[in-house]
Amino acid sequence: MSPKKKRAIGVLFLVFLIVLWQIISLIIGKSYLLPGPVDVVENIWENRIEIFTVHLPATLQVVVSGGIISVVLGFFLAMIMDMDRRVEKALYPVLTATQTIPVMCIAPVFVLWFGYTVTMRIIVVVLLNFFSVAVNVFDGLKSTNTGRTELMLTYGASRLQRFFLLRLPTALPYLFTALKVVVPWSFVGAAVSEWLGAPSGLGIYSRNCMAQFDAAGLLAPLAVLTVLALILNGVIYLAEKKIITWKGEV
Amino acid sequence: MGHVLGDAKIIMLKFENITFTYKGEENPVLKNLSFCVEDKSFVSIIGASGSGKTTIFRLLNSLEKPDSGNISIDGKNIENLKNYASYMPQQDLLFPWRTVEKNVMLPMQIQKKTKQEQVRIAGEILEKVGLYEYSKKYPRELSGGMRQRVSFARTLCQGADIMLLDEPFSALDSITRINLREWLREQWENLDRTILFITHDVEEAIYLSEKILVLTGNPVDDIIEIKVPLPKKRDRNMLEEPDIRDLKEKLIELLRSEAKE
Repeated sequence: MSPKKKRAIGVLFLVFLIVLWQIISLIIGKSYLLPGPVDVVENIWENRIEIFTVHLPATLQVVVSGGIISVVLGFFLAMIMDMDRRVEKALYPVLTATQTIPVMCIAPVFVLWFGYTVTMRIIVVVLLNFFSVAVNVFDGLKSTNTGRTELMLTYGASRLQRFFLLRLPTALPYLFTALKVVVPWSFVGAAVSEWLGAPSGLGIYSRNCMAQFDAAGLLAPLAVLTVLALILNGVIYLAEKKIITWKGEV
Repeated sequence: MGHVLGDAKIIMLKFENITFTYKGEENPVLKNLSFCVEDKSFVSIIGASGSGKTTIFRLLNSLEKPDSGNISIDGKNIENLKNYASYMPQQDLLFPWRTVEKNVMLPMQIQKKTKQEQVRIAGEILEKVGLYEYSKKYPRELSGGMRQRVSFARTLCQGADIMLLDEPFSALDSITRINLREWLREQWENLDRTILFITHDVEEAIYLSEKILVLTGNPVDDIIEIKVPLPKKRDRNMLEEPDIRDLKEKLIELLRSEAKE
């Protein structure tokens, strides 16, 4: 099947689900219980100024800062684990342990420490994401071909040269795999942390709507977040296609 | 340049009483092994599978250290040398994220040559191996034979006087193999370098080399040196001459008896 056909099937299925959602909502006929997609879009349009000028910028600040910090921190951890086996032995179990604690349960602790601040929300995003970057990049660095490493040694390459000229490019496809996880989870992390409490943000907007039993208002910001995450992921896919032209060849 | 011995022959590489055992193994792979390679010569090493051919290259490349003995190039112990040998591995091991030109430039980049110098030398060498027009292509756009030629160009760019070629044609189809064999011999005639070539293909060794070293014993403790009675200018038909056919049979018998041991 051609990639175009595959994409068309994906889009058609999505359209089918949205139409189905609308039909079910019409059949039930109680928009406070199950608003249809049309209700959600109407709500976004009615509250467009508040959503796009107040809440969306606040959420994006957390998503972007948290996402970037996750990538930098995860990358740094992968690098130091790759450089020294002792660091790997010491760090890896601790990193794994951080992932066994549900973020929703630990997040209130950050509220205690940092209050309802941007810092608290960024920490939640980082906690959700840095591990997948660290593990993926670390696996990527470890997947370096031994023959190529030995070839570099015969060229007299220093450790730094081996890292930048061989190990890093080898790990780059793995970094993209991690980025595809980081983008949606940064949105999830930001929304979850805002639900705990925040002066502004799509998460808190959604929670406030829930308090008013406004189901369409609850779903509206989530729909905006979903569309944005999909667009950003698309950008990552395109960048990957453009940069990693050798995918699968290493 | 080379190191002049008492008998006035110029020696490029000297392997002296080398014993080597892999970590964790009890039995050595090489035992008191010695041989020399003359300057500007083309020498092949043949031996049965697992006989230690690649181990010799690993030692020459300082990827392993001998238990005892000395390896010298141009009269100097390799322990104190850097970039003393250019190595071409069995697989091309080209970097898929680099163009042909950038792959060929890699050893010079590591040696921190200037960018202009890298581009100039890579251009000259790619011209020499007939791949200049492919400079901006990526390895995936080339055939297996072309990739090996790029790998050879990269080896040349390392710039050492001695080249170590580890079964570079073993993964290729037979026609490409024969073509590249002839091509390599021509390259060597114009290169002014010493080539030490590992192969398990007897015919390839005869066609390419001045001298063939046959590894014997288990562990390898001796080498039988055989001079190839062919002129400098060679063609494929010469392999059908009676004395060359006899030599081929003799080598095959020798390898067979070694494999049985």
